[in-house]
Amino acid sequence: MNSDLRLLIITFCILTSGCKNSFDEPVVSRGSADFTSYVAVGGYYTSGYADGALYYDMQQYSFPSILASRLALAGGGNFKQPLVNPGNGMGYDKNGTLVSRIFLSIENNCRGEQEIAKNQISGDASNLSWIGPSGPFNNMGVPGAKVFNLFSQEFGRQGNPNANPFFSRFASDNIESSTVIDDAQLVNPTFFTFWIGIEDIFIYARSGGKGVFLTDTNTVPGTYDITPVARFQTSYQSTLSQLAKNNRKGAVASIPDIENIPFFSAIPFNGLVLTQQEADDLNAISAGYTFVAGSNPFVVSSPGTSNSRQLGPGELVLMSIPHDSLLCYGLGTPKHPIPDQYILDSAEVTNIHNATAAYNAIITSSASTINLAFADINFLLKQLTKTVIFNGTTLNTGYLKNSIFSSDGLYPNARGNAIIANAFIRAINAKYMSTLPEVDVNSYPGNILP
Amino acid sequence: MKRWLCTFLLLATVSANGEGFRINNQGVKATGMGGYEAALARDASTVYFNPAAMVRLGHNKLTAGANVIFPRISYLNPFDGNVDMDPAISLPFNIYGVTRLNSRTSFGVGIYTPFGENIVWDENWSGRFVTIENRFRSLFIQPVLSYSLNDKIAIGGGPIFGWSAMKRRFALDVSSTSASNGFAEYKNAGTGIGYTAAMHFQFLKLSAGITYHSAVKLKMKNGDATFSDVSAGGAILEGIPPSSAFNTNVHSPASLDAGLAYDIDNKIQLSLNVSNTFWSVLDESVVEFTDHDNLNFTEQYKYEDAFSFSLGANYTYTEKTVFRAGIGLTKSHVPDNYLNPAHPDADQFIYSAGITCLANSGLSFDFSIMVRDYKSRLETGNIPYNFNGNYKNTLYIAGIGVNYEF
Repeated sequence: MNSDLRLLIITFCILTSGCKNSFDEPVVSRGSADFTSYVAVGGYYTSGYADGALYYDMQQYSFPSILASRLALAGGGNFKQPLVNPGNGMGYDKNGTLVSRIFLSIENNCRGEQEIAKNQISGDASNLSWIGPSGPFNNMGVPGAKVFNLFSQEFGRQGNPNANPFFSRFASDNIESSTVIDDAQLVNPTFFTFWIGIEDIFIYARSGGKGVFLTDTNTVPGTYDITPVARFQTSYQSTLSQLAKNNRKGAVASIPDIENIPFFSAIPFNGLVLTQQEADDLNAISAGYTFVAGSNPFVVSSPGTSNSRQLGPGELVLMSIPHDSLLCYGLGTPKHPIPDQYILDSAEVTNIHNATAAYNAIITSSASTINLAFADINFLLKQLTKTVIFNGTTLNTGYLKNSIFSSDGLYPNARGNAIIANAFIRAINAKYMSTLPEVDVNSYPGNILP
Repeated sequence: MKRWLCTFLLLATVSANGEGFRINNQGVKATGMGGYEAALARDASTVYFNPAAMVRLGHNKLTAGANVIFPRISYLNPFDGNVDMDPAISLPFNIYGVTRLNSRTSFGVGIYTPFGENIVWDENWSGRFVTIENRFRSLFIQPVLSYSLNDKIAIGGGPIFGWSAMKRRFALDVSSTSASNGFAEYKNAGTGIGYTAAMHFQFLKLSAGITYHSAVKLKMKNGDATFSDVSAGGAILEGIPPSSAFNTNVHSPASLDAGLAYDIDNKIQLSLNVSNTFWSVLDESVVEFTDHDNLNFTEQYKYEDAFSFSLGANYTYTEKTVFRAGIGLTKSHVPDNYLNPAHPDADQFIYSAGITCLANSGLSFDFSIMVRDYKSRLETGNIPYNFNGNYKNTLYIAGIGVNYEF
């Protein structure tokens, strides 16, 4: 009996220690693409801009940096980014003041309730110093770059009124001749991503429609104007033909609709929530409006007149609106109509829709003409408005909670960049028969809460 | 009575994590023959396998068995490769006793661990928001009567008193620093009542049995849910308290087992069993908080009734030594798109072997080994968690039993 028992135990030990179940790791193939040297050309969304600034920690999580970490599994080389100094980073507020990234903290609001508040301090001016000699850079994402800026020499000239400080800090020649598109060639790219056109619409949109949407292509558009469609097309196609010359392979992406971005969608047009008493009080003092208990459309001022009106469905309230005024001081009621700069009215929204649709048509047709991979980020964000589950976490395009957007409400956080990188990976795999694995979105930070 | 209760509670504390929810190691002899034996009556474990057959045992009997389950659970994720489950050994056990009341009636009691789970993954793994720890323990006690209608047919049955405890832990997406997340831990325990009923037939060398175990709904009230490492901002956004009480129910599924056994000669005996486990009672799990409605959730299981089959043989080598072996097949009760790493089920093949050694004066020992080899399974369209990948499980189970008759 004793020896039987010993035999059994020995057999069992051999059985259990010898058997491992691990799978064969899949082999990553580059397919027909060559990822040796990858260059990313674009604007805010390419640079890693988030939380109201370009800052070191988040640049590590720019979507091209995440994508490059996967390309490295299939022959991709080093991916060099024009990093700012570690710390608070650099951004510009709407007055043009150099500011830091946004920090979140818990504060009591005007109602005495605890809530998450945003704070910015002054930005780190040392980041404006020229780092061109440490280039060339693989990430040519320049926050604020519109498509026609990409081949402008003034865009990188330090001190020029048309210069962009985010580019002049790392342009290869910041005195004279650098352009974004020329500098992009310095890394001898074998593969590129090109995602542009967001600034051409968003700067208009986030300003509450300060500029115009012209059809005239001869006038150079101002900062707050929407780039005319014909001009977008010419600039887009000539930039793309430079990037894709000699049959170089790459991927382009669509422009998201602003309704899928929390800066424009987090506050509903009928977000004036009243009690019966408050509604009665307002009805007593304001002719022409009827307020009810519950949700009511905000009251906004009509530009150029002393009149006011109620917002309609489809019109948008911007997140830049003073939060406390809205919460406690009657902003959005007949007493204090919301100023136009915080509103996109139906005509402005139509301009934005028309431009987005026209740009996306140009992007998709260019992609198919030159036979490039196409990442439909507009569609991706549309899906995320309904909350998407990924490995047990929920992700959405709301503000802060489970959001893929950073605290500025306009630009993605690291998790958002990971989702975008995955969309590029899927598009690249589909077009070039590569087998790049997607990244685990949850291994990238969401919004870091206080 | 008080001493009895103490013993029960003591057993409860050491009881019974199991591997894949229904533990098919309720007797060491049966384990050696594929896991089931609805037709055979060899020792007191017939209290579980077929209580009607107790009257066929002939003597007063005691049987106790214990098992060690070594799981090997591997997962290949689409993002960064292989992950192996942390080693988590389970120790299901059982104790049975049968006594003859008169020539036609026997009484028996069983204490056993019908289901359990002990799945533990690394705290930082890619599925942490789905599960880190999933533990169920159970202890059922079952007094049964058996009555012989005639020399061919016997019936039996009795109530089941069940106790179960659960612990689940997973990560919460409320980050305060880039590297970390919060954690939720749910602990609860409860009791429930069910029944078992069986028939047994004996025709010369052929015996047959059919056994039903009802579902047992274990009502778990006032458990502790604790939420740790949640940032203050996360607590505001999600409305998460440090802790809260919650209620839930756990169902032990009903099963219907049928078996045929045939004595080929004095030495060789064959046993064939089929079993259906009515998993569809586990359609979903509802967790309700007593004072935080916002945290309530429903988890979709969508389990399906699943069929098992086993075939075993018994070979009496000498008067003192019996060898046995068995094979089996169990269909998965987890449908595609609902496979969860907290319960990584798949179709499985079962291989087992065993030996009984008779000592003297009514004392004997059983040993068994069993391998439950799950088919490699690829999940691609997971609905509740969108958590996909390739799973491969193997369970190695060693059992030891002791029998005494008097």
